[in-house]
Amino acid sequence: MEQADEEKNKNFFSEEAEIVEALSRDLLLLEQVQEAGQLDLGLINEILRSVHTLKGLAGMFGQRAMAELAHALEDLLEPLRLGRLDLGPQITAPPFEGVARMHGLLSGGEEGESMRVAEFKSLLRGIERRPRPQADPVVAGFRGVDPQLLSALTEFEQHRLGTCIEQGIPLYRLRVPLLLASLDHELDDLRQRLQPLAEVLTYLPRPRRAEEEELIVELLIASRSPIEALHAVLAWPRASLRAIERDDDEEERVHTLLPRAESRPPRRPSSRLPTQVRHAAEESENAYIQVEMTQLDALVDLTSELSFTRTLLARLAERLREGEDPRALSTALEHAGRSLERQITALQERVLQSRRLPLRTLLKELAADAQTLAKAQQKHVQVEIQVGELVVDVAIVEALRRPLMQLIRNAVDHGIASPGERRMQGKDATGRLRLRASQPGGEIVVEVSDDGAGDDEETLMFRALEKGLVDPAKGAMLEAQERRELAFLPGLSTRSEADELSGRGFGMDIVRTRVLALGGHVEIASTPGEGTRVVLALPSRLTPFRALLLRLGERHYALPISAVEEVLRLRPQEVQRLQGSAWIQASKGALPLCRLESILGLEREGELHALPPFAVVVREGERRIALLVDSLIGQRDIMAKPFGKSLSEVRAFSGAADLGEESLILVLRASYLVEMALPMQERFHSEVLR
Amino acid sequence: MNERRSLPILRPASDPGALALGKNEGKSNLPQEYLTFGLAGETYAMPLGVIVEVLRWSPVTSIPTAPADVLGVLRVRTQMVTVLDLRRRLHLAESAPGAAHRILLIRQEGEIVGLLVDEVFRICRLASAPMETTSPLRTFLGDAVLGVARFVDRRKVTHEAVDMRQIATTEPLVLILSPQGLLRPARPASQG
Repeated sequence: MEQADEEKNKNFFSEEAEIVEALSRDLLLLEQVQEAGQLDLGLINEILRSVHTLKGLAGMFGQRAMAELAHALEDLLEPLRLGRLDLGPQITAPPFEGVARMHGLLSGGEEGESMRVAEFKSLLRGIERRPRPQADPVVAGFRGVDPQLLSALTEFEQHRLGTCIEQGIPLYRLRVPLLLASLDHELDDLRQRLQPLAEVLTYLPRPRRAEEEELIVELLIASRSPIEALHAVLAWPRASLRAIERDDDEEERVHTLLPRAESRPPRRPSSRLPTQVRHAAEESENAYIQVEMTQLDALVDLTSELSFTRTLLARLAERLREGEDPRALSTALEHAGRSLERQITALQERVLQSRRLPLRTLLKELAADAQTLAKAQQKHVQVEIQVGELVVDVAIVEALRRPLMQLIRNAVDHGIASPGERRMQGKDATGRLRLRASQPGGEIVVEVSDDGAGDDEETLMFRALEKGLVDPAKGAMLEAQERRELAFLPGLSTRSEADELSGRGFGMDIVRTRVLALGGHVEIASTPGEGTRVVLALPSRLTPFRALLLRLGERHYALPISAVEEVLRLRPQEVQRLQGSAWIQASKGALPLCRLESILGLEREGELHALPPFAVVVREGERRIALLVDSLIGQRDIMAKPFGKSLSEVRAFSGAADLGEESLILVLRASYLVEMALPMQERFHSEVLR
Repeated sequence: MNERRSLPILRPASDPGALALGKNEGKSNLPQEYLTFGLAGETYAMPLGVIVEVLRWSPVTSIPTAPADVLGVLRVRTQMVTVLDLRRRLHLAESAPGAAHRILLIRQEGEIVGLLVDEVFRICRLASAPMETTSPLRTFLGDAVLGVARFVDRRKVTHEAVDMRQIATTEPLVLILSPQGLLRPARPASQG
C-alpha cells in the first residue's frame, strides 16, 4: 500500500514539475509582452489553464499547500483576463514568487514552505481589483444584431465587447453559410482567416429548417481594418458583412437582454477551498467526491437566478390576469423563457462538470499496481498509458476500477512471462502492458493489451469441454468470436493450478458481468504467443457528445462525430469493383463502400438505390470504411441513454437519444459498423497489438 | 406526457372470481395476487408484484439486429425500456397494436422491461387447489410457464380444496406466466 502511494506521489510530482516548468516559461513571456505594453489574451489563457490543472492535480493528491498556492494564483490571473486588473509590474512579479514557492514545495519542503505560502497569499490580498461590473455599462443597443447573440455572451465575451467599444474599434456583423457536416472545421478556418485583422467576439448559429445541409452562423467581430480588407481575407462564398452602428434609442431594450450581474449574490472568495460533498450515485462505491467550492458557488448563483426568473414569470401571469394586452406581454414572456432555458442549460452543465474526474488518475493507480504485482513475481513490465485529457463521470471511474484491476492482474500474472522465458521466445525481457482510453462518442472505451502469452483458443475449448461447461456436440460449431467468449465462462481458466491472484477462472466472468450490468460490453482478442487485447466499453451516460445525424429511409440514426473522419463526395466513375465489393479511393487509401442497410440487415423494398452523393468515412482505430446512407442531416449534441440488460447482445447500437421527435434516435456503434463491413479475416487478426 | 399514458391498477376489494391453481398444495411459495390479461383471445396471468405500471400503447422505436421478439425501445421518463411483443415471445399469431393494447412494465433483475399485451382484465387472487398438468405446455414454452389455472365461482370453493370436475368448464383456462422465465432468452449454455 505504501509502495503504491509512493508511486502515485512520484507520478504526481513529475507531472506537476512539468507544468511548473511551462508556467515559468509563459510568465517570462508575459513579462516581455507587458514591457512592450500589450495584453496577450491567448497567453493569459494558457497560464490560467496550467494553474488550473495544477490546482486539480494538487487537490486530488491532497497537496494542500500547492492547491492553495495554485488557487491564489488563479484568483490573481482571472481578473486580469476579465479586465478587472491591469497588467503591470506589480502583477507580473507575484506569479514568479508563486512559482518559486511551487519549486520549493516540489523539492519536498512542505512544512517550511507552508508558512511562506501563507505569507505569499497575504501579499496577493493587497493587490486591488476593480469590482465585478454591475451589468455592463458600455454595451448599449446595436441595430441589426440578433439580440440572442448579445444575450448569450459569457462574462469574458462581454468584457471583450466592452473593451472594443471603449477603444472605439468598429464592430461588424458577419453572416456565413457553413456546411453542417464540417461545422467545427469551417469555424476554425474562418477564425484563422480573420485573425490577422479582426477579433471574433462571439458567434451564434441561426435557426434553420430541418432539411437544410447548411447552417447560417452569425459572428460578431471587431476590427480596425476597412470592410474591403476584411472581405479580401475572408474570401468566403456568400458571406454577408455589415458594419454595426450603435443606436442609443434601443439602449434600454438591449439592456434588458443582457444578463444582469446585480441579480447575483456577491461572491465569497474566502470559502473557495475544495470541500467534501455528499455524492449519491447509486453505482458509485465511494459515496463522497471532491467538489470545488467554486462549483458549488456557481450552483448557488444559478439557483438564485432561477428563482429570479420564476418571480418574473409570476409577475407576467399577474399582469395578464389584470387584463394587459397579451401581445405586448408575449415578448417579455419569450425573453423570460429564453433566460430560463439558458439557466437550465448552465445548471445541467455545472452539475455534470462537478461530477467529472480525469481518467488518468485511475489509470496511473492501476499502472502502479501492475508494477507492484510484477515486482513480486520478478517480472519486468513497462506500462504505457494513453488517455489524453479525458475526464469522465465519477460513476464511470468507479465502475471501471475493478474490471480493469482484474484485467491487469490477468495480464501480469499469466500473460507476461518471466524475463528468462521471454528471452527464450525471442521477446524483449521487459513485457509491455498498454492501457488506452478514449471516448468515441457515446462510450468510454478502455483497452488493456499485453504482449504476453495470449490465450490459446484450443486450450480454452479443451478446458471448457473437460469441465462440462460446453456441450461437446455444440463445441465444434462455435464461431471464432464465440470460442473467444469462452474466456468469459465462469469457472474456466487456462491455468492448470489456481494461483494467488488470478487464474481461478472467475476473473473474466466477473469483468464481463460487471461491464454488462452497466450497459457496456467486452471484447477479447488473443493470439497465442503474441498477446491479448481486451476492450471494455461503457456508455458515457451523463456525457453529451456531438453526433452526425444520418437518414436511412424513414429513419434517422446518430453516429458519434469522433468516429467520423471525413465526408467524401462520391463520383460514380471513382468507384471500383474488386472481389465482389465496391471500393473508393480516398486520401488515406482505398476504402470499402458499405450501405448502412446491409450492415443492419434491413431489407429495402424493390429497386436498388442509386449511389448517394456523399459517403461518411467511419474510423475505428486504424480501420476505415465509407458508409453509405440516404442523406446527412447535420450535427447535434446529444445525450444517449444505454439500453437495458435485456438488449446487451445488440451490439450495433450503444443506446438511443430522445431528440423530441416521434421516435428515438439510435446511436450507431462505430466498432460494429467497421467490424461487420470488413472481411472476416481482417475482423479478428489485424492489429492485436498493432 | 408519460403521466397521461399510465393507468393505475385498481384492486377490487372483493373479487367474486378467485383464481385456482395447482401445485402450491397449501404452501404459499407462489405469489397470491395476479393480473390477468388477454393475448390472441386467450387469458394469461402474471404475478402482480413484478408489475410496476401499465401503459397505454404508444409507438416504440424498433431496433434493427435485435432478437425477433423485441418490439423496440420506449422512453419512459428517464429510462430506456425494452418492449417485448408477448405474442411473438409465446409463438402466437401477430396483430397490429391498437387502442386497447397495453404495455405492462415489469421489474426483473433490476431492469424495467415492457411487455405488449392485447388488453388488461383484472386482478385476481390465487386459491389453493389441486394441480392441473402443465407438462405439454412446458415442453413448448419452457420456463415461461408457471402453471395453468381456471376461474372458479367463489361460492363453490370449499375451505380445503376444489374438486375440479365439479367446476363447470365454461370458465376459460388461464396460463400463468413466469416473468423470470419469459425474460431469460432461450439460448445455448455458452452464453452463461
